[in-house]
Amino acid sequence: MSIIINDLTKKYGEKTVLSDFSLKIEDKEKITVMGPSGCGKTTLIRIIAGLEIPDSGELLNVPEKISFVFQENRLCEDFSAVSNVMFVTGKSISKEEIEDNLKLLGLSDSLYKPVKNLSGGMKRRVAIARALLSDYDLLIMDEPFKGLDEELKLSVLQYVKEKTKDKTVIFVTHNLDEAKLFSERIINLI
Amino acid sequence: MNKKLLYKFLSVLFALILWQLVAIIVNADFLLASPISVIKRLSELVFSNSFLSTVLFSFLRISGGFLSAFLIGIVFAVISGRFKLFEYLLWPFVVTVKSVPIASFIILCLIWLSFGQLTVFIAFLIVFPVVYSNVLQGIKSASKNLVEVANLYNIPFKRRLIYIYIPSIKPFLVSASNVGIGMAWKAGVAAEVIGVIDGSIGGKLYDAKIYLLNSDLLAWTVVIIALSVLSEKIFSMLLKIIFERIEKI
Repeated sequence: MSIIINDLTKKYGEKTVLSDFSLKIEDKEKITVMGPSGCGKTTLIRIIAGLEIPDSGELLNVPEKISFVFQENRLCEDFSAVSNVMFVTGKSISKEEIEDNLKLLGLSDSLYKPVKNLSGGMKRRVAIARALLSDYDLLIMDEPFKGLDEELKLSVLQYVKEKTKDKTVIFVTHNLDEAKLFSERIINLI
Repeated sequence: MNKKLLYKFLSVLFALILWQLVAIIVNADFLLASPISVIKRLSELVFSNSFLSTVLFSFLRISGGFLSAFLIGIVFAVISGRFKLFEYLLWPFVVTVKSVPIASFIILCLIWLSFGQLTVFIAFLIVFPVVYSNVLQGIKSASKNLVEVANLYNIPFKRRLIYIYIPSIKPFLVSASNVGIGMAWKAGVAAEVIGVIDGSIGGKLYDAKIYLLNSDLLAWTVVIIALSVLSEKIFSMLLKIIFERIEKI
């Protein structure tokens, strides 16, 4: 079922971040939301995920199971990469499956190291794996490839494309190339 | 020997020399026993028949009070972290226990409790607010970002506890246990002295005071310090092992 957003408005104090914003996202569609900093991209996706309440407007048919790659990694720093994925998945998928996916993301040597000892790029991939291996109907990604070098970015993007084939995805980025490679439609928030 | 350790050793040596000099000047063992006579008395005490039973008597009760305060403090802090009302209900008790002099509690409890229970309860009473407040602070300082992730994925409480709250309370709990053990020994022995509890370390301190046995008083004080430091080291090690196991989950 399509996700329908009608006349969404959100203000922070005097500042209007979103004003009567409407959008329809088809089932299994991949869209990219772009726009300059402070235009309300993050606010929009946080409202869709139920993490913020809009001042007015309505959201229809938003799936219950939502997964999110936040702008920050938001990892449990003392725990390993595998444990961080298990934090979200529990025992719904096997340890072997988690290990295989992390290996696909180039983390073979760091599966059981505390993530606090991993590099920024490695942590980013753990955060992506965590979101993609959870059980979801809608995936929201807020600048997921930030901090990854170009070569790595392409392979991770390929992995994300493969894993989200039959899922609805909302992707936020500043990078037009990433948007074109990943999504079917680009929405510009001004 | 590294530099830091060497400096510590030299400062202890300096304190002992200073103590010996003052004892020589005072020249009255019942007023201030010298370190040499304290060490001599300590070696006699350690090999006496009643030493082990006296140490065990106090150690078991003080440790019992500390451990129960440690566990109940954690449980109550977790409940307070989840239910604000519980925190408010507990607040006057915690503030009262923190601010009322421990001697007042000891005298009050002497009426209500048996001698054996007194040490346990006083050690509990002094440690509970420290553990409770520290753990609650740790819970409150848990990463808001991670809590948001947990809410988004409907993560059950047990998993939140392991992944978010335990790592967050870890430094607070370690510091509470280090402070708490020392406080438990101080308050526990004070309760034994005021309660004149027979067969306890505090009881021995009381006898030393009555019979002006300054070397006994200081020898037992050395025993208390040693037991307090030893308990602290053992408990810190246990906590470290427990946290390491949790992080390997």
